[in-house]
Parts: sequence; structure tokens; C-alpha cells
Amino acid sequence: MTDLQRMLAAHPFAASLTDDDVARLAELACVETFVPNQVIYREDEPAREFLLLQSGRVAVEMHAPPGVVLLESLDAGATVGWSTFFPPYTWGCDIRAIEATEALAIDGVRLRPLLEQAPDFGLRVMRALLATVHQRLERSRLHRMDLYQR
Amino acid sequence: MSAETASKGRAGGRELLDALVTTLIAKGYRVMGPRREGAALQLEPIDDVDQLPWAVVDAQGPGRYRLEQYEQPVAFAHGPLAFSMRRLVSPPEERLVTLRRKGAELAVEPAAVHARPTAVIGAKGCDLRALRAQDAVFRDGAHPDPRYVARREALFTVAVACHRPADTCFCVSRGGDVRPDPDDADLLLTELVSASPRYLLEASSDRGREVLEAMPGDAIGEDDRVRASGQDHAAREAMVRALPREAAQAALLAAEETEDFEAVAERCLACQSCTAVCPTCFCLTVEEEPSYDGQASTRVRRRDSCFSPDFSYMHGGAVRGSRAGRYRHWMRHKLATWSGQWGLDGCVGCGRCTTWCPAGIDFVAEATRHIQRQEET
Amino acid sequence: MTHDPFIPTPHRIVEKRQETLDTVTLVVEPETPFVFAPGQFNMLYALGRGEVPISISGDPGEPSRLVHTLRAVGLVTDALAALEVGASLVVRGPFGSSWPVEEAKGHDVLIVAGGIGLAPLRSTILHILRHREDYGRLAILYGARTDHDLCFADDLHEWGGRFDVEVRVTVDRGSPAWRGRQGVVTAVIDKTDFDPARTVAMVCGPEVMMRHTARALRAAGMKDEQVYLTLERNMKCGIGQCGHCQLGGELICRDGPVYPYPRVAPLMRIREL
Repeated sequence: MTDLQRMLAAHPFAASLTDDDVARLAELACVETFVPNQVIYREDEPAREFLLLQSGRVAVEMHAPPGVVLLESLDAGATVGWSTFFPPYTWGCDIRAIEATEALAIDGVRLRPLLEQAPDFGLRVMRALLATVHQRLERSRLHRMDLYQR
Repeated sequence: MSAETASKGRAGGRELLDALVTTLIAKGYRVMGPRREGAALQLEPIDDVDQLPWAVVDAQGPGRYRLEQYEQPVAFAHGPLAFSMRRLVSPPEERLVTLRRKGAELAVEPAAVHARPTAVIGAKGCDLRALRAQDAVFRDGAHPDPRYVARREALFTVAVACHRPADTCFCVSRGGDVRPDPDDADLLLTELVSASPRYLLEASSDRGREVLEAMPGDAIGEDDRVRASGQDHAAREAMVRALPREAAQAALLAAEETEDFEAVAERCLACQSCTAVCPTCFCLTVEEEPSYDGQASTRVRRRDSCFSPDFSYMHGGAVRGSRAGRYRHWMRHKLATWSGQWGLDGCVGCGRCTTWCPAGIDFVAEATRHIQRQEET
Repeated sequence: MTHDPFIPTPHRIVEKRQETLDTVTLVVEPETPFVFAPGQFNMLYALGRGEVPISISGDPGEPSRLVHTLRAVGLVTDALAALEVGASLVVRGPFGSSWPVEEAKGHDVLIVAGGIGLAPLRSTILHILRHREDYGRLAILYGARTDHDLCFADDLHEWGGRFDVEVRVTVDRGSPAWRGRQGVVTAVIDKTDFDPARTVAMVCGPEVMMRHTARALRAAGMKDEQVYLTLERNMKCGIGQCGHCQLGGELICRDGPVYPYPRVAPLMRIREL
């Protein structure tokens, strides 16, 4: 196993992936680092990759003049950048590094056709993606309850 | 230059300036010119040429302004005055209208428009070009401001060719020149520097010609013109600073993110000195001055600055909440977005923002950093 | 002497409607017809407090009635919302650009509004209904915070009852009695019947809502060029002279407030611009 494969396999996104899947994804992966405050993805720009956070913290933000709304913070273990998988393949909000952050960036442009070409692999990747989307949607519903309001 | 205009010229020694002041006063103008006020040269009323800053010059640099003795007994060897002519056409504060409660209704009482005929001697090319910028905003658009229009019409300008630009000057790179565009003024004055300076005065408007006709003086000779043009050339050469228009505009248009301005924002005090001295800045606010009983309120227009957080306030907060955001707005407005708004340049290269910045932020150096970064990418 | 753009005109309020808890509609009848284009705004004045830009929400085809709808969210709007029939409404205007009602002739029109954003679009809707034959299908998508925050409820009922208008209302958070849709306004776009190739969309609401509406319209097959929206910033003059409303190089009061989306889309993404 290469270092990249090891890092990938250790990420929750890969929990239900096979070793072969991990090797395939590792081919499309590279390590990226972000400095605090760096805007990683900006709304409406092309979504070409997604991130498996290794360390640090990022913010999911929406620019809403006069200000910016922090929607959610995501830590190591999170999967960031679903827009890579769906048309129009542009970011729906801003992603900004809150702290120094390290992530595996996986090339979505090259991954998309592979998902079609190898349906088994595609299904497992989509399941992994759906698991994170499902988890975040549930969290989001709870969040929306505004539980501590008086 | 046409033969006719040339025939309207006058030449002479210091007595020509004397005659100019006397003639303008006789025509009913309040005459203003450069004058030493405390530690700086300011645009102030004068009634005698002795009040001009003879043999006094300024040394200007980032956050630095000093007056020094000059080796020649001349009056116009200084750089840009602390304040430009902007306040003469667009005062820091003025009343617009009073609203008064009359039963259930409100009555509208417009404030009177005051415009005192004023003649400025020694208007520099940069400041005259800055008036064009003010004209574009307050006079030439769809909604001319009657107060501005009246004051602008009442302003008579005697331009002066710069023979000793300040170290902070960069007008040539902004499309200006040490010799003002005659179309921007009523009269154009040239000070030929020597132990006994000689003055050339030429008219470029009808009212300028009227003033000139009422004055004595010799005709302008060919040798005068040769000397003037040599002096212009030397002054242009002496101006080493430059902020090229196209390059600055492209670089600042590209510098969209506040991150690009965080370093300068660390130094910027957001004190609004730059916007106070800038001759093209036009931003205003309108504030209320209610009567003690709440039955009436006067609306007062005051100069405003984009460095104030309130400037961009809307329901929920300030749009430009950070100093970096505000600095970006100021610099991009001056160098990049102004021309699209008004069809001319937002920076005339007078350098006042640099001289009067208490933190010594050098506007040209900061903008040049953006140009260099743009060239690298 | 030049006309002074800073001198306002007082008009007597002849009608006041409470749209929601914090939103009112004020109607005045100017002595001379007040001609305006849909989407334009006026500066409204409250004694001792100042002026704010407020869109005209009335029918451009009825210039004898000047109608504004405003939400009490600050010092000036609180005072304006407290004005009663008989009081003076002090007005300067009209200012700014208008919705592309000429360009939209012969096209389907999709109106997407959020909250008080229906106010400037109401004048467009009334204009289109007055010239109904000039336009194709008309759909009005309206989102509000709760079912108690719906502006122009009577109008929405009336429009919804017509056979030639499609009205879809959704709220972020419905009361238990609410039987309508709950969710964001972008969610109803793909439920709406329109031909993306021949539609002009006019959008007004908070900037996030407008950006995401444009995104949803793009996903539905429309081009950004077919989308128009209106922007809001601090304004002190309404005539491009105070500098407060700048967004990059745009002077929103003079060049806007209504813009073709592609012209302002890149600017809307930049923080603190």
C-alpha cells in the first residue's frame, strides 16, 4: 500500500470500499494543504474535486451581504465537495479553511466517467457518498430545530 | 497656439501678479492663492501678492510634509497644497432643505444656494483635472446639483505650470502634465524662475480674456516661450514617480479579494485623511439636524468617507466590515472602477493621500505591488 | 435654475394596509401623475430620521396612485410604517433602472420573489396583467419566512384564481395551520411549467436567495442572460452622487437596481465588495 492508499483507507469515506476501490481512488488523489482563512472553494466556480479531510477544520459558508453566514464546520473525517458529482458541477457555497487543514483531494473530473464505466465501483462510491449526505442531512434537520432557543 | 490667443498674453515681473490680484478683486472676486498657514501651505484668501509663499517650498513624502526655504524668490515652487479646490465647489457641509410639521402635513423649505465669485491663483494641473472629475459627478450627469453648478460657475481659475513637482507627484503617468490643460482654466500662468522671476499670463476663456484685457504688461516673447518650455521639460524629467493607468487598472481589477489587502490594512488606521485630501473623492452623506421640539428637521449634506464602517451599512451590518475590505474599495475605486462610472480617471496623481497618511502608506508603492503581482502571474 | 434633485415632495397618505406584522403598504395620490417604470424606487423621508430607498409597488398604468410597501426594520422604516392616513409621505424620485418588461414581450415570464422582494415585482406583475396579451405564460413563485409573513396575500389569492397565471407560494416555516408548501423557493422552480428557451425570469429577494434561484434556473435549462434581479445597498442620494451604493464599479442607484444577472453575478460572489 502506498502512503496515499493508507491515508485514503483510514478515512471514514472508505469504510465500505474495497482495497481495489481505494487503489483506484488513490490514483486520482493528492494531498492538499490550506492555510487558515484560505477560501478553498468559491460559490459558482467549477467543482472539479472533492476533499477527504485529514486534519484541521473547514467552514461551509454562504456569502450573505452584509456578512457571511457560517452554516457548518467540518473536521477531520468529513467529506467535502458533493457538487463534484452533480450537474452543473459548480460549487453551491463557499468552503473556507478555519485552521491549517490537510486533505486528500480526489479528482472528480476523472472520477465521474469511471463511476459509469465500472458500475460496481460506482455503486460503492455512490453509497459512500450517500452515507455522508444522509448523515449530514439528518444533522442539518436537527440543526434547523434551533433546539436551544428560548 | 493661435496668433489671436498669443496676442492676448501678458508678460512681466512681480507687478504682473499685483495687477492680476487687483483686477480680479476689482471684478468682484474673492481671490485665493497659496499661503503659509502654520506649518503648511493652504489655499487661502489673499489681497496682496506679498501673502504668497515667496521662497517657501514644501518637502513631501509618505506621511511627511515640511516647509523649507527655497533658493529662488518665487511664489509657485511648491507641490500640491494640503487641500485642493474641491472644498470651494463641494463644501464639507451644507444645508439642503428643511422639513417642517404643519398640522398633519410636512412643509418643504429648500435652503438658499450660495455661490461667492472666487478666483484661485495658482491652480495646479492635477487639481484642475480633479475638478473635471467633480464636474462629471455633480454637473454633467442626469441630475445636476444646483449648488455645485452655481459654485462651479462662480469659480475663476488661474492655472500655474508646475516647475518643481513634489517628490510625491506622479501626474504625468496619470495622463496629466506639469503644464495644465488651458481648457481647464480661465488663465494660465507661467513662473519663469530666476533671481527676478518673470510671469507669463495667457487667457483660455472669454472671462479670462476680459481679465487680461484690463491688465497692463508686455507681450509674451519668443524667448519667454523657449524658457517656459525648457522649464516644463525639466519639471517632467524631475517627476520620477509613476503609476501607469492601464497597468494599475488591470492589476486592481484583478485584485478582488480582501486577502490581497490585508497587509496594507494592518497599517491603515482608517482615519479618512486620504479621502479628506483627495481632490477627486466625492462621497457624501445626508444627515438630519432636528429642531429642539422635533417639529422640524434640516437635512445637511456632509462629506463622507468609504473608510467609515457606517458608509456601507445596511440592515444587518456593514457590507465592508473589515479594514481590508474598505482599503480595497478605496484603491480599486480610484484606480480601476472610476473610469467605468464616470468616463475619466479617479486618480490625478497629486500624491496627497501619500503625504497626508499618518501611517505613511505610499499609495503608489501599494498599487505598484499589485501591478508587479499581476505581471508575475 | 436647475431642478434640485434633493428637494422632495410631500403627498398625503390616503390609504394604509397592514400587509404583515411588520410590513405596510402606503398609498398616496400625487397632484400630478407620478410616472414610473416597474422596478424603480423612491427615496422616502421620515422627519428627523432620514431617507431610505423604497421600491414602488403600485401599478405603473395607474400613475394617479403612488404605492409603496415597506418593512419596518430600522429607525427610518419604523417611522414610515407608523405613518397614518392623512399624514405626509415625503418622496423624491423615481430613480434607477426597471424590469425588462419591453424585452420580455412575447416571452414567458417567471417571477421569483422572496419576502418583501415581492414589492418591486408587484408593479411588474400588474403591468403584465394590464398588457396580458403581450406576454406568454406568467408564473409567480413566492417564498416567505412563515405563512404570517406573506405580503400581498389578497393579490396572491386573486392572481392564483386566474386561469392565465400560475402562483406557487412556499414558506420556510409554516404554522401548524398551514396547508401550503413548506421549503425554499428554489424547490418549486422545477415544479413550474415554463419553457426555459423562451422565458425571462425576474428575481427579487435576499442575495443568497437570488443567487441560488439563478443556480436553480440554470439547472432548469435557462441561461444567466435570461435572468434579471434587483440589488440593494446603502443609499443617501438615489442619483449616483453619494457613493454609498457601490458594488465594484456599479452605482446601484444609478446603474441598477435592476440588472441582467450576468452583469452583477461575478460581483455578488465577492465578499465585502
